[in-house]
Amino acid sequence: MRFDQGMEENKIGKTAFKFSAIGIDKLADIADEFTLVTIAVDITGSVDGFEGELKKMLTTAIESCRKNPRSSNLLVRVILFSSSLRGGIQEIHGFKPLSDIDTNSYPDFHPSGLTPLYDAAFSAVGATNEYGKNLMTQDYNANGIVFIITDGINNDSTATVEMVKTEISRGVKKETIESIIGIVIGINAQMYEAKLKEFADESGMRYRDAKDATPQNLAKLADFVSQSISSQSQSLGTGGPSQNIAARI
Amino acid sequence: MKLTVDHYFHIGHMHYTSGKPCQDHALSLSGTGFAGVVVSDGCSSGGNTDIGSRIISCATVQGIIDHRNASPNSLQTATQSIVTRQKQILSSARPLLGLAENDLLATCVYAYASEIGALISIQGDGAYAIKHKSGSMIIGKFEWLDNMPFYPAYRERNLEIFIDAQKKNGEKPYTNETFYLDSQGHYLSPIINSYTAEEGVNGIQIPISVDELKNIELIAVFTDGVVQVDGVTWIDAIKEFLAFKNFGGGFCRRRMKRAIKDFQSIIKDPQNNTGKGPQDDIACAVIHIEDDGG
Repeated sequence: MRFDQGMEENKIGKTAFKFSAIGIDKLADIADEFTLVTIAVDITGSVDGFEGELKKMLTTAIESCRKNPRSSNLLVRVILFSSSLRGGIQEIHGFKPLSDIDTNSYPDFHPSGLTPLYDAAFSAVGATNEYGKNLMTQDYNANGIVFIITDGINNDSTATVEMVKTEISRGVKKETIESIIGIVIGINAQMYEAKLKEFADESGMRYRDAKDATPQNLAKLADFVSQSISSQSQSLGTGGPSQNIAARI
Repeated sequence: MKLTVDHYFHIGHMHYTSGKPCQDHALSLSGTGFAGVVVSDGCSSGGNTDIGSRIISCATVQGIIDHRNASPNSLQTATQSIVTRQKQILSSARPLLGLAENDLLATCVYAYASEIGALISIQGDGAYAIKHKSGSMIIGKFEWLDNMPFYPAYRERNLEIFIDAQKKNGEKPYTNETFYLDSQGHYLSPIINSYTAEEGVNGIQIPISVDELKNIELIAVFTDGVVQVDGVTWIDAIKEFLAFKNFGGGFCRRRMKRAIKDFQSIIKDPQNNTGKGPQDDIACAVIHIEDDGG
């Protein structure tokens, strides 16, 4: 994992999982409340052939967020996951304002390796809780939304479903953050739909099927991601999560 | 000395549920070597006092700026020059904006700090707090009898009528209650001072010398909404509103929002606390003082 300059390194609880985030002292002039957004993208061997479209979906979703009237209230983290990456997870960048994000600098994806799905989910939700708690302690208000985009089921994680469930539960019970929404998104994953749904249900997340990895479906997925971010951000301050996350992509 | 300021105002439960506007207002400014903060509370039974409270706070801030520009080395003349400027602006603005006299009925509590010292001035009802670097605090509230406070707009022409009316309430209708809190927040009985109506309409000044200022972390001013938070004493409300975690950007806004949310959600005593939070509109403005080695 590499850390950008100006970002601070954090640990998720007592685990070995780490994440980076902009120092809270740098947020004072940006906003008083933030939606923490994490997009975790599967770059295992099975996405080979549509990795370019997957990257385009990611950058489109991020760029769409810039048009959001609450764009300055978003702090975005993007991670890739595959067993071919050191520790199974590579942070393209930690939680940072959109104004500090340059999607042109995002690396090309090189699919290979197995699927540390639970590690990715734990990293996404755990980092949101950890940083959200730090923000709330400093009188900032925060909620979170995480997207785990995958084409397969877990086959190489150190984290467990229980660990993910515990983190989601902390967010739902408002122990750390006003509210959190976790969404597992299957792309080209029809054959694993039942398993992915089961993982989402057991861990307290939601499941959405993005169908085949066609350019049209990936464009719809980008739109779903940016709309969901917008909706969760608008719910900040209401005390609960957004009730307007689309049921379908 | 580095001076950082922020302010916040919030509609109270009564005005929110009755569809009335927030009649409190707050402003803050900081320049090179000086800072000023002001809160104003519009009279509920006046006219469009939401506008009046805004005009009063703007006029006071302008008075602070003009005094600073004219007499940067004099604190002694600050009150007089700020009041004079405030009066000029109110007299000019009211007819220009087509406002009635009762639209401008709003209190004014302000603090002015500079490298030569500071002062707090109270015109009408309101409260203030001085928090020392040691953690101890001095907090005080000022109240006119019968909920009939003095408003700076009375200076335009109703001053004698107000004074005569107040004299019927007794010789000293204006009261100040001051508490000294140690660094643990413990306090003993308050010191109570009473003032004549004539003293009250001149405004009460609390001067702070430059030596005292070196030991002060922050100076805060509040409208009297701070004494009407559901289920919370005004002392606890002030302590909570000033429990800052940081001093960047909208530090006062963040702290007030969180504290109000907490007051609304933590119902310790259901018989006396129904989770309404501030019953009345509330405004707060803060000067944070930091050594910058200079």
